[in-house]
Amino acid sequence: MTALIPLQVTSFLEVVPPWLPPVAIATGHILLLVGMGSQFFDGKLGHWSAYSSAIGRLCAILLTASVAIASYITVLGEDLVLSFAFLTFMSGRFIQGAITLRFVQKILDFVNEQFTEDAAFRKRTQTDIVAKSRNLVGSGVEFVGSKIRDYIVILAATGLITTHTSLSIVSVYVFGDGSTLEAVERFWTGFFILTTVGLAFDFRHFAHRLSWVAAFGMVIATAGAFLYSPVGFSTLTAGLAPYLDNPVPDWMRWPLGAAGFLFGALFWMIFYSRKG
Amino acid sequence: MTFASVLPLLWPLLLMLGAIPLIFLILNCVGYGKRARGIGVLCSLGVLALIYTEPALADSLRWGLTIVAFAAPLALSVIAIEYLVEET
Repeated sequence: MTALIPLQVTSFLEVVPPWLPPVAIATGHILLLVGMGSQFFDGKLGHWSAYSSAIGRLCAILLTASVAIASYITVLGEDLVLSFAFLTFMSGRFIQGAITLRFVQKILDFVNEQFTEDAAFRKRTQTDIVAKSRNLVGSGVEFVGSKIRDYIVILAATGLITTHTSLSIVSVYVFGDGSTLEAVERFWTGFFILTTVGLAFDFRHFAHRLSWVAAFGMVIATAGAFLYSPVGFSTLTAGLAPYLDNPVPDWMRWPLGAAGFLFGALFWMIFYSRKG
Repeated sequence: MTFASVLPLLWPLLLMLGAIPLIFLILNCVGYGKRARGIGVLCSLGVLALIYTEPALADSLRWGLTIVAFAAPLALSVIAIEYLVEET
């Protein structure tokens, strides 16, 4: 038994189930295109009498299949797998950047509101000030409380998944054959689901406005791209293989993530200033 | 015949299959009848034949579709951010 236990951290990093990231990216893209396509047709052709959303969906599915096969051929043929995965990852980060700015802006709005009210109360008595500061503390607590309530959902979800993954890994040793590979695969699958849930949590703000299918596809694709390992998938990166022993390449993921985050923030600013 | 060898034949076919209901819808909306639909199907078949016989056309179309796939997540993100700002 002792021979089985030393499950080194490096061995965790060496095995992401190889099918998981590409399958996730592909599935995510397909869902994304089908969702966006049917929404587009519904929006553009919905007022035509001969149109029904079933026809729109059929067209979206057929065209998506065509796009999927054509890009599969191009991406593999031109060695663009890595760019494809990283672009998907960056797009996912866009949204996180925008959501962070939105959060900051909400806090600023809250503080601003309190101070403008304050300025309107120039001539106030002692009791007014006490009442006002109680009010300020009260609404501050309420604001923080509502944020925490929001996050309880994600905490519960991640807790559940982490527990399930841990138990499932333990079961490999207790009931299964104790294969390290299987345990590590289960770890990565759990990690993938965790990433998905984290992203889905950010998407909750607008999934109802876009299309559930497209938003879900985006989440899956980004989570897959997050786990994507360039080693062994692309001849372009074969030369870099010695530097890529970590399957989640931080040297690439951090700058790309940061760039995506900043672009997201930038888009948010552009739309916000345009909205006036 | 392998799976990989079928793929280059499959995508133009699917593209046209997806386009035909759209062509029918447009013809119906404009007010054309059965004959126009027949012509529409014939035209699609003609385009399909052209894609199969002209590698240059097939390549450029394939690249166009690839760009759609690349742009889709970016477009979705930007649209999503726009909605996010509207709701704030």
